[in-house]
Amino acid sequence: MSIIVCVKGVPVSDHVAIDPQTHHLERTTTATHLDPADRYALAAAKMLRTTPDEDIIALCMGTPDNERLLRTTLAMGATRAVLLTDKAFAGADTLATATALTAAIRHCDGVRLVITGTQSTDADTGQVGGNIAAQLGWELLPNITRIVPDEPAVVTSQLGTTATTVSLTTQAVLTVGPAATFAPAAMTVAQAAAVDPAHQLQTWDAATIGCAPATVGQKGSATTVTALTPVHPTKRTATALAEDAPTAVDQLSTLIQQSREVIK
Amino acid sequence: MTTGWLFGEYHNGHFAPGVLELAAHTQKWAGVTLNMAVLGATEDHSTLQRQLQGTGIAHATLIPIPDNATVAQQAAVLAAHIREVNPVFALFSATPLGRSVAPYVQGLLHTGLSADCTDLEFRNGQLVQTKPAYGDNVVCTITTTTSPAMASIRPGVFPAATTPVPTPTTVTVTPFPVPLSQLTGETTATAPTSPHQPKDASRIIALGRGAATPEGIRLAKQLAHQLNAAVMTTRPVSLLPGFGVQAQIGLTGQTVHPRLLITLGVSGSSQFLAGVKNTGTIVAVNTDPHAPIFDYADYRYVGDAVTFMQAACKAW
Repeated sequence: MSIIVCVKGVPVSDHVAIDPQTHHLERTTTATHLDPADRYALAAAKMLRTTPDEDIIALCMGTPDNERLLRTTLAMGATRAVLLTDKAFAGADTLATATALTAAIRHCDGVRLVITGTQSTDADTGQVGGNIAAQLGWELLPNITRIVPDEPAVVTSQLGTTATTVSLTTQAVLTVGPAATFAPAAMTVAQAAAVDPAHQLQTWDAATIGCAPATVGQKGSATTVTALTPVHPTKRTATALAEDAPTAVDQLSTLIQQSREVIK
Repeated sequence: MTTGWLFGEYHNGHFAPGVLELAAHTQKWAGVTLNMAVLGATEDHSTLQRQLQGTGIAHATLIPIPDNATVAQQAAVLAAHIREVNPVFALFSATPLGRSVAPYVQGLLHTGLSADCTDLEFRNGQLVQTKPAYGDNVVCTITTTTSPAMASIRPGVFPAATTPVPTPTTVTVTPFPVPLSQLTGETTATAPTSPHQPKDASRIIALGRGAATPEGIRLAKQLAHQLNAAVMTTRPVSLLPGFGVQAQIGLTGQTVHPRLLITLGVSGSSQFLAGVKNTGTIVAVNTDPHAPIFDYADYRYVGDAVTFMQAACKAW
């Protein structure tokens, strides 16, 4: 039995390099780190293990430099790491990404849970976990905020103000993020020293996991970014209000009134 | 005639935030007939009929579903309905549920989905989607090559319809097979707050260091209550008890897009401003006439925030 944690490298800052032609992020030139939500996903995996030797497999679709990130996951509790890398995966939208990850998940033996972050800080879609669940035909438990380790474990999925608490009695995809009540996974020096990439890290390409090139990457994508526009805060010209507070507040009363009328 | 589809998310006798506003927005698109799918109980039929009057939605299908249906069960039923309707586009309001169900439907239909869009247009028979990315620092324009083109839209982006549309809505009850679920559990409502998170509020009062005294905080909460607004903060103030990252506006916190933002004692650092790019009207209050926030505000008040709030609480 194994648990798969899908992880992703995201830009460290918002100063991203974007290819002006393809509108894709230039992923090899932008400094990246493990998406913050993925550390919660790794923490969840450790809590959901039913035996001490159950494998936690960190799975990442990305360029070869993501090997560095996967070594980090091995120091944070993952027992194995798989880098899915292939030119065929480049330019993937959420559909093509989920298709590739699903094929990799199916290529692993005895997977009983898949855990992803709720939403990454770059594309902000929050879609891949749900899409994978659909392609696997498994239940989806989004935004897990609480885990009670047990057999079966009891987890709480929080959607807005609705909390659903279930026993994990079936294969499922869980998404976890910063709303979790448990701490994210962290590295210790001892764990980092124990990492053995030669034995713990594998690299797979499209052919290894049986992905037809037409179903992944740019070719397998259903959406096209036709324009990408940077957004800067726009300067405005402020109308000066009276120095006297009651007068100033009066000057704004029409604005406040209009605001009340337009919005519930 | 173009057929469009919309998930009419519905709970406790009400449509979820953003649903009817999204329907109203599509009314602007010539030649589009909207079909809405509602998951609920057959008893909801007459209430729905009444609530849909004037919305211009051509058809609504009420699909019976058990209480506490899982995301997978809801998605399976919605996907089946979409296949039957065969629309050009399928839309969801990006509520917490919508943002979980839509990607599952996307996976079942193997089509494109753009989540959390801030605008939608229908041009040349195509759904043109606008969505922010990279922490809201860029805006993407997206089109879809597969059918249906799926999109979810942030609640609060589109305004409510003001003019009722005379087109009557036909409401039919159509069952679809609900797949079995292996999960057993219970659903509870947590703290009954407004359906929106503070960052989704239409009116926000933002407290900066200059105003975050105990009195300043008390007045801000009172003013927020009077205006039905959310209280949020700059990063340093978010560290005070009772706030946290959910209340923080800025690059490392939340991106907000209210119609009205009143900043009190906020200097206007670039990391704060990064979180308010899509804001409607900004009223800035600060004792420093050279505070950078004044370059990005529509109204400026140079003076003490507490005095301002006291006057505002009396008048508004």
